[in-house]
This record gives sequence, C-alpha cells and structure tokens, in this order.
Amino acid sequence: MTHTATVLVVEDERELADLFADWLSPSYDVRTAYTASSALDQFDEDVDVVLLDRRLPESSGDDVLQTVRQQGNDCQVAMVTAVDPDFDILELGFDAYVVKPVDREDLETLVSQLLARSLYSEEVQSYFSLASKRATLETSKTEDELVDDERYQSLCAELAEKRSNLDRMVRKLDESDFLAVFNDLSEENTDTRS
Amino acid sequence: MSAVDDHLAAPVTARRWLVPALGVTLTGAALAHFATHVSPAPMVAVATILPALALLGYGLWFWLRAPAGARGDAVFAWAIGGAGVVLTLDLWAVLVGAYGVEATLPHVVIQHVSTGALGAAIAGTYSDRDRWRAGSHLRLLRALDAAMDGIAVLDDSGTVSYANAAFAEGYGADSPASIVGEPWQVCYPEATRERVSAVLEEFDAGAQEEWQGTVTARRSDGTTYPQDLSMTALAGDGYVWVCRDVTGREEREQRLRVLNRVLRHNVRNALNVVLGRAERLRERLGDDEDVDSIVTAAEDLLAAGEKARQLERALEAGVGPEEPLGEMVREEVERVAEEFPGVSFEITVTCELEADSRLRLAVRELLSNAAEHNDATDSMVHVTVEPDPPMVRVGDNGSGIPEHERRTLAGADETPLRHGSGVGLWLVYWLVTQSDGAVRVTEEGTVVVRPNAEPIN
Repeated sequence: MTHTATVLVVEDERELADLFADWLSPSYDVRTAYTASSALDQFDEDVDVVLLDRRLPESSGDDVLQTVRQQGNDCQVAMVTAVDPDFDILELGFDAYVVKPVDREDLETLVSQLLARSLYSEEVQSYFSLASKRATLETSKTEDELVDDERYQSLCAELAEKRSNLDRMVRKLDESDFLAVFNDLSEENTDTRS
Repeated sequence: MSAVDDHLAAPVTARRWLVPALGVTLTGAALAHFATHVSPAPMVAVATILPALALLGYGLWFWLRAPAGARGDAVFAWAIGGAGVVLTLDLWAVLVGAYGVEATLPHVVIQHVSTGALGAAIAGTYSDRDRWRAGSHLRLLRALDAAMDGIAVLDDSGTVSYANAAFAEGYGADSPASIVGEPWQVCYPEATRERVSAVLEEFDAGAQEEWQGTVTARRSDGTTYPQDLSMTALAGDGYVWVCRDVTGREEREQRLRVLNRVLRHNVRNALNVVLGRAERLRERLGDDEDVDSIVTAAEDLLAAGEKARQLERALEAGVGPEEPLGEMVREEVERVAEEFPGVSFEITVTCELEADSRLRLAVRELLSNAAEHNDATDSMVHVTVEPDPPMVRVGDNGSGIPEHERRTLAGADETPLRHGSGVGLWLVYWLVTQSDGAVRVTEEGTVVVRPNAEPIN
C-alpha cells in the first residue's frame, strides 16, 4: 500500500493553520481551510483526518462537524481548539478533543493515533470516541460537577458496556487471530506514514 | 421583633423618681395628719394611709423596673392630674355638704387624692407605653418604606399585603398601593414562578424557613431583570420577601466571564503560533538563548492563564468536600517533588484533621512557589501540618517570599504599580479565605495557612 493519508486542517488563525500544515506535510497530504465553508468545499471521501477548530467565523466548527457526520463519512475528526470543553461536547461526534497550544510532536502523535484507530472496527472506534470524551471532561471538570451531571453518568455507563462487549470479543479471538490482526495493523500504520 | 425588644426609640429614663416622690409626699401627709389627731379609729387610719403607701410602692416599682416606653415625668403628670381631679370633686362634695357634718374632712381628702393619683399613675404608664409603641411601629414602617431593598409581606395565600416603595419600583409600579392586594406571581415570569412555588411549598411543609437565590423578576411592562431574592416564612402566617435588582452585578460578572474566555482563547491561539515558530527556529539555529527565552516567556504566560482558569473553577464550584488534610498535603508534596527533582522536600504531619478540598490547589501553589523561587544552592522545602491550632506551614531555606509579594497574601489592595507579579499568591489568598481560613507570612518568609479544619470523625 502506498496510499498517503489526507489531513484537512480547519483553522481560522492563518498563522496557526499554516504552521500545522507545515508540520504535517512531510508525512501527509494536507489541505488547509480558514473558514467553515472552505472546509466543507475541500472535504471529500479522500480526507482521512480532520483537525477542526471550534471557533470559526460565519459558522462554528461544531456545525462543520455535524455536516461532515451527516455526509456519512467515517473519517476521524479531532477538535483542536482553544475553547475549554464543557458538557456540551457530549453532543458532538468527534474522535478526539485537544486544547491548544499543541506542539509538533503532539500533532503528529494525534494524527497517527487517529489513523491507527480508523483501521479498527466501528465498535472499537466508537469506544475510543466515548473514552476521549470522558477523558476530556475529566480533565476540565471538578469531581463534584461530574458526579452531579447525568449526561456524564450515562456516558460512563455506556463506556462500561462497550468495554465489556469488546473484552468478550477479544477473548473469542485465539492467539493466532490476534497476532494476525496486530501485524496487519502495524503494517498499515507504517504504510500510511511512508 | 417584639415591641419589647425594640430599642429603636427607647425613651429617656430621667425623672423616674417623680412618682415615688409623690407617694412619699402623700404618705407623709397622711402620717402627719394622724400624728396630730388623737386616737383615730384604726379602720379609718388604715383606709387613709394604705392608698398613699400603695402609690409609694407603685412609684418605687416604676423607678426600679423602668417599664419600657413609659417616661417618668409623663406618668407623674398623669398622677398629679388624677389627684387634681379627685381633689376638685372632693372640694365640690364638701361645698355641697355631701360628707355630712360628722365627717373628718382632711383624711377623706388625703385618702381620695392618694387613690386618684395611684389610679392615674397606672393608667398613665399604660398610655405612655402604648403611645411609644405606636411611635416605634411607625418608625419601623418608615424604615421599611425608605429601605433601598424591596420588601414585601405576603399573606399565607400569597397575596401581597404590604410592599415598600422599592418593591413597587422593582415591579415598575408608581406606588405600593398598586401592588398590594395582587398575587406575588405578577412580579415574576413563568420559570421563576415554578421555582418560587416549589420553595413556598417546602415552607408550608415545614421543610425550611428561609431561602435565598438569584431569580429573574418581571416588571409590569414585561421586561425582566436578575434579582436577588430572600424569602422567610412567618410561622404559618405568610412570608416576608426582601429583594434587590442585581443587573449591575450580573453584567459585571458576564463581562468578566467573556473577557476571561476571550483572553484565554486568544492567548492560547497566539502562543501556539509563538511556540510553534520558536520550535522551528530552534530546528534551524540549534540551541539558542533568544529562542529559549521566548519559549520560557510564552510558557509562563500559558501557566498563568491555566492557573487563573483552575482558580475560577475552584471558586465557582463553591465549598468543596472535606478531605484529610495530612494526606492532601503529602500528595501535593509528592506531586511537586516530581516536578522539581533538584529540590528536597521534608514533611511532618502531626494531626488528623480534614478540611475543604479546595485548599489542595493553594497548597500546591505554595509548594511550587517555594521550590521554584528558592535561591539556595541546596534547595529545600519543609512543610508541617499541625493540629492545635490547625496549621500548614510552608517554608524553605531560601530567602522566602519577597516583601512586595507578601502584600498579596494579606489581601492588600492591588494597584497598577503595587501588585504581586503573578496570579499564584492571589490564588492562595482567595482559596484560603473562601474556605474560611487565614494566611500570613512570618518574619522568616514562611507561609502559615490556618485552615478551617475539623478533627476527622
């Protein structure tokens, strides 16, 4: 496989968008959008990862995310934003939430992790997405706030259920299956970075 | 508040001795009369002296017990008036010969005058008290009317039975008369009505007697505004409401929130560019002093922003759960020690106390502050947690907190030229004082936090 993954950077701060593009361009095809409408114009089925700012002129990153998800594309979307996460993130269909500033290493790790995840089954991906939401909330909210919030509680319950389903699935795989899957994953992963 | 507790208009207590003095005079007159008359009938003597003695007794009681609201000279005037009326009647009776020729006029006169004075003194006491009570009631009403806060009294069906001018103004009415007799619901929009009704139901069920909160109120023209409302149940007899328009405060808070958020957002974006570019410069130039200093400055700024956010969250969250103080401090020492591997930490805990968990952040700040700004070659931070009184001491072998920064921990007014250099010590001051503790710095520069801590049950 010689396919190079495509990353769409959506960021209204031009300096920052160009910096992100610059960091990622040695490894990926990078498209850059400074506005929500340009982001949607440049978005197609070739895009594997979207790095999305939440605060954009005209319409917000949250709206862009919704449109992307409605198009049924299963690409990976990370919110890369300076907005502190609140409970409203539970309504959003992102795969990761990162608060700026991010350095080169953070960004490269983020993209390669998301690409690795895109190879997993839908089941595993949705587990990661929920886990990322929980982690995001846990770093930004106090324990009291979390305990009092019903949405957070149901998120935890859902995560626990998915987790036990996955555990059951993994137990069914025998060792050779497991190794095969693992090799497959690591090969594809190196391919995308080459 | 009962009228007896009301000392708003306590009368002058001067000349309370006037009534007993009158009693002494009349008793003296009676005794003198019988001393100059040979062998009077005992019954006649007793009937003449007793009223004068009773007046003397009442006068002494009045003098010593000082019944609230009754003035000594007013009661004296009543007594003299009463005596005068009786004396006039007596003289008239003598004139028309009503007592007959055999009556001994002087003791009849003394007896009647004493009785008249006694009765009038008692009546005067009550009259003066009532007058005073009415006066202080009026003063209270005027005070309520003049209060800047809106005050209303509701009967148990929720109808406004009294409203002061400020309450009427809050509703947009010209005078209290246009709101009295209305149900309280007219002053609030639907959402607030539900909330307040729920509280009133709890009042009626006896679950609570007081409630305070910020609600949305409505004027008669339909506009709404934020209002601080406190409600008190009057033991089965309606409610008292006190309210205040807090539009100014809410606007200030909103301004702070927005500025905070926008600043933090923009700082993060801008510093991301600064740090990213600095990283690229470093790739090009290798190790470079200028780049290092750009990165350090940017990171400090980010850390200050992050601290401000943590503080905001901790203060907004209100009182935190209680946590064992010793463990809290130990965990923070471990955490900060990891961050500053070159500094050694020494911790002594000699107590089992628990305190507001928000102190954790303050302790962390003091520890990192002591570790980071320690100028000694062999840096060392020592921490003790003591029980009596509850105390957390953070000191180091450096020069301690500099003088100009200590002002922050004393909560001194900040000005553009006189303020601490960071948010860190403000964070400590606010967190400690918000959790009902106190903080000070000793001569040697050791910080002493006196938390509001309780023994662990």
